[in-house]
Amino acid sequence: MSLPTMKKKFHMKIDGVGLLLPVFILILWYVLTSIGSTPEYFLPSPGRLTRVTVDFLTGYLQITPYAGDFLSHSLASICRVTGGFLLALSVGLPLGFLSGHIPLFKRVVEPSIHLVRTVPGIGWLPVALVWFGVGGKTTVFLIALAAFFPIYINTVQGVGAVSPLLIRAGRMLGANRWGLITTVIIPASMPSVFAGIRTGLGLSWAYLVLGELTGVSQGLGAVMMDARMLGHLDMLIVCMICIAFWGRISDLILVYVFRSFPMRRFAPN
Amino acid sequence: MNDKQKKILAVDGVGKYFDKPDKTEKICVLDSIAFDAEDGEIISIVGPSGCGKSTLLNIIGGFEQADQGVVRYEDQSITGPSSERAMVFQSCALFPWLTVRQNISYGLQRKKQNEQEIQKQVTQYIKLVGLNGFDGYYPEQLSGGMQQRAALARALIMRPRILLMDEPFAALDSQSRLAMHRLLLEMWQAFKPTILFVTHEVEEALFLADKIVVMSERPGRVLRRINIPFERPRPASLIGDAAFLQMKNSVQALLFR
Ligand SMILES: Nc1ncnc2c1ncn2[C@@H]1O[C@H](COP(=O)(O)OP(=O)(O)OP(=O)(O)O)[C@@H](O)[C@H]1O
Ligand SMILES: [Mg+2]
Repeated sequence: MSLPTMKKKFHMKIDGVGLLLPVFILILWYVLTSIGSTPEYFLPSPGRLTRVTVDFLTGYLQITPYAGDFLSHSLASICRVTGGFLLALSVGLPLGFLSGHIPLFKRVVEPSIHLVRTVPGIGWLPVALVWFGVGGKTTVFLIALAAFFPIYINTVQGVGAVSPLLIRAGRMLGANRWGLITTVIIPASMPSVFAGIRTGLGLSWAYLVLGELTGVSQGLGAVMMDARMLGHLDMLIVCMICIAFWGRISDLILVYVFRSFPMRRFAPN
Repeated sequence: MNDKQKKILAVDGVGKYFDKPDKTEKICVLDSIAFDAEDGEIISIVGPSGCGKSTLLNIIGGFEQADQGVVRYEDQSITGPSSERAMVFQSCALFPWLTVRQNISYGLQRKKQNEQEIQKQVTQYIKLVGLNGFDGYYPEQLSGGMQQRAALARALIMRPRILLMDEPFAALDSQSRLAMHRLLLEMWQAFKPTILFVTHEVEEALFLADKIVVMSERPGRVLRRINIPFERPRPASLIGDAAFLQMKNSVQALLFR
């Protein structure tokens, strides 16, 4: 794949003006750290950060205890995000569909769901620790819980808002109940459902960090916690960058998957 | 016009009520509507805005239920939508996630026919409505007139006995509307469906139809049923003829009393 087609496929836009601010901040950062007004443990220099990143990725420099561990920690985190996110999908999509499609079902479940939703995600942490113990399971639970709501809510909205005219058109052309669902209601609600899924995935990464901070041995959040205690601010920042990186990659993959659907006209631009 | 003896549709005393938005009372939208359609006839329905024309078509299409009276299609009362009574909606209602070709194939695919056979027919209908080369276009990429052509093809390919058209050309400029009239009449010559054509335009109604049903303001009643005698095929210059103008004036007088 050539670069332009790749850009097009993943829909990346690079706006030169948007680069001005980051470049300015980078320069300011560089100046601040090189004149020695801020100590390394408080704000590592860009150079130091680059070296730590390279070390984390390759293990070549051996300047931190985490040298070369990028892949193994990333893998642990990715597995948790995937697990929690898939869980949220497998519950949120069917429930959302039923609520959007069957008014009575919505009346039954919606009040309870909104009640649960009023508790902020972090508020679940102590209970989750009791139920699932410190570590991986709690993390997956938190992720699934956080990602569930946007997926559910957007699916309800999308399915409920399908134009009655399109449903009439489908019925007139001979679609039966099941046919209507698969050929009209699902494709028509796609844009909204997709928006929910995308938001859910973004939240998954946020709650990954929360869950992993409670104490797991593997994972980017675990490294962050460890680095904080050992005073490796540089490593902490590198982990933040890694999470942002994986978050963006997973979002791109999601968009790519949706673009290859038959109803791709509805994938985001 | 000897083969037009068979009655295909009978609208018999149809009444319809809708709740007011606050649900305190019901308003009567249609009141004892009655007319018949013979097989292969084109009937125009004209009436002021809000008099219940769309509601009437929806009842005939099987999308809504009449509160009084019945609509009989081939002596059977209508229970739901069917591709034998295909509707061309005012706003097309093409599926925006499907291409022109996929939209037109949709109905036949519901019937689980042989896919190759379907595509052959679709190609034929695409050509028929003059959309060759636009197979892969999505509805949003088409002009209003082209969308109407696609919607027409999507309905016609089902070989409906009755074609219900709800102000299908209202959004078009007069040029494209004339083109659509020609296309519609060609289709009608070829397949001879019965057409119920709702419109605001008296001229359009008179030019297309064998019979026109004039409706009153809400609650919609049938003010008059008028047979239109002009020979087919009708030249475009018909709308300037004295007899045509006279008829147009009398219908307009009925509408704007
Ligand atoms: N679902 C509905 N609920 C309540 N009232 C409705 C509903 N559908 C239509 N009406 C009312 O019925 C009346 C007739 O509507 P309808 O759409 O049939 O009119 P129309 O003759 O097609 O008008 P137009 O020429 O403007 O399209 C209107 O007053 C409208 O407010
Ligand atoms: Mg109408």
